Amino acid sequence: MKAPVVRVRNVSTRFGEYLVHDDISFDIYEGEIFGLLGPSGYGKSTMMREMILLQEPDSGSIEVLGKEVWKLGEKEAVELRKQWGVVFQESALFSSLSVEENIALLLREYTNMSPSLIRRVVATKLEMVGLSQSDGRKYPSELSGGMKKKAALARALAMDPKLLFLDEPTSSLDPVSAAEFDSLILSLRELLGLTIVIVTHDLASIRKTLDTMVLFADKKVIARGTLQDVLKTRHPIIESFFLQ
Amino acid sequence: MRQTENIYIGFKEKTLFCLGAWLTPNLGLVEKEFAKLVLPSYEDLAMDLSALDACDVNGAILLHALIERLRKKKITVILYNLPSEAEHLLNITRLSEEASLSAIRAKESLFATIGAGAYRVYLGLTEYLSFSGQLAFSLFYALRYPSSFRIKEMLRSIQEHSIKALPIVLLTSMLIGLVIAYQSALQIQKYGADIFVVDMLVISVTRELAPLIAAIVIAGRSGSAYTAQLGVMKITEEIDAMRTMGFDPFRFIVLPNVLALMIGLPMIIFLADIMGIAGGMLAARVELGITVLEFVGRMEEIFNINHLFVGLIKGPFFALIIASIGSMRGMAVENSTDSIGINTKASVVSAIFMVIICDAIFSIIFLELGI
Repeated sequence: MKAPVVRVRNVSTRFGEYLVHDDISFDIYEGEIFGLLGPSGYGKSTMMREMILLQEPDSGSIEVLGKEVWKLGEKEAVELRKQWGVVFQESALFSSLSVEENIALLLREYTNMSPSLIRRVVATKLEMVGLSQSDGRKYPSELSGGMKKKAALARALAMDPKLLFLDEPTSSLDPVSAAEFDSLILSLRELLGLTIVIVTHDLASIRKTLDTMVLFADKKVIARGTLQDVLKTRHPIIESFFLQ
Repeated sequence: MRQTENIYIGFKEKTLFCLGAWLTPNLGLVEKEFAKLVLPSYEDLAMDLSALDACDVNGAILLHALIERLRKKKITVILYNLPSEAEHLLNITRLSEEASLSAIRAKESLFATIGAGAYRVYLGLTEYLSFSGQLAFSLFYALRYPSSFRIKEMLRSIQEHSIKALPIVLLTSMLIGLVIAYQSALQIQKYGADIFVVDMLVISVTRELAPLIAAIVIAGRSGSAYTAQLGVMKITEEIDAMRTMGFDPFRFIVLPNVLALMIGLPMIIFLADIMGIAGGMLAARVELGITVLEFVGRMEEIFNINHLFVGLIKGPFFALIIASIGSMRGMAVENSTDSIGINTKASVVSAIFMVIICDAIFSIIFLELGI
């Protein structure tokens, strides 16, 4: 079996007195679309924030792309951050920059590509996520919710990462845009061989996109594996979660 | 001859070799190496990719761009030993590039830039006219239905934007009076006309300095606050929520703010007059030895009450400018965070500028009227 891309071992997290994760472990393998599932408030977004170096767990270790993320020095952390892309729940596009500039930002900052090559790269990324070139010239405030998500995805893909993190990508979209976004994710995985980690509670996209998943509840992972595996597990939260 | 110092691209016997890892961080180097290559103008050129260890999407985009550049020079490129990974990526980029390249942005001409700028100024003016219209409408509405006017809002606004601004305005005004008296004392002494420092100080402070200083400080302090407050309310959709409940934001926020400042600013100016003169008095005492009694005596002789009114009458006009520009800019905020910053800056800058223009117009009017 291949080495896991993300390896979470014995992670515990507490917010003040409140314990969010109690000794959680799981692996994410290359090429998977992996879901972090669970009702709101059970720490699935927190788990993702711990993987992408935004929030430190109280104990346990998290390895991403073979590096133990919370033991890295500042320089190594920057190197690691360039190897993944993140799409936030509210897209988090920089509102003072146009979509094109949002995508070009990382390339300008971290590579010494010529401006004409950067323009080509930006144009290609826009095309990949299904935005037109004229959309690229717009500012985030001029875009609809679905287009913002696509633009954020294009920005996350700018440096050609092998690993992509999506935080509730479809939660603020209408069902049609959400389905479109799910298809986009599937086709990008096909095209680029990405490993994708998704935090979600959207049942339609769970069914459509996820290969494997873990379900958080009661501070623990209560079910893991494919959708069939998860549905076979007997637990009141699983029944209510999938019957919502 | 193969250029061995290059790591990513080499040239030998009609063949271009692509080597190493064409990954995003290295692509700038690849471009530089390609630019250094001296390529003869063959009719056709082979491109050998067998030594290409790794290539990502951005690498494939570059490869594609290079091939295109060679083709433009009428060189036919034939690809050899394409790794399957690279072939797959080339296919992705080829599909999207053809659609996108035609759309690369053309540079704007100078005339277009000037024209766009002029149009923006025109839009700004019409926006201000439409804003004034709405403001006037809500004023007449309030006059017609006085009970609809939010008197509590207005009092709160006076407290917040006039009374709380007093310390900074008064301190500034006193310092300006002090500095003016001190500076002119040095000059006036040379002519032995010491006592005339009173004339100069009292008239300049009441007619010009106190109103201008008060207006400029208030524009910076309260005008920007109006913009930021309304702007944030606009972004968080509070303004829209008010509208859906039938609360006209002009009636509930803008008009009370404007009227509050129109009442507050003349009072601030009056107090600033006193502090400015007090500051001057202090400097005159220290520098020229003019006692307070002498100072007040001289003031009584020369001071015409018109000087005071000339300064105070400017107050409501300056207040109207500051509060309406501040509110208009706040309402102009759009759904992005830096829109607040841009509009706040524009609100302060244009309010101060318009206040100074208005002051100049007043000077001309008063001169013609002989006041």
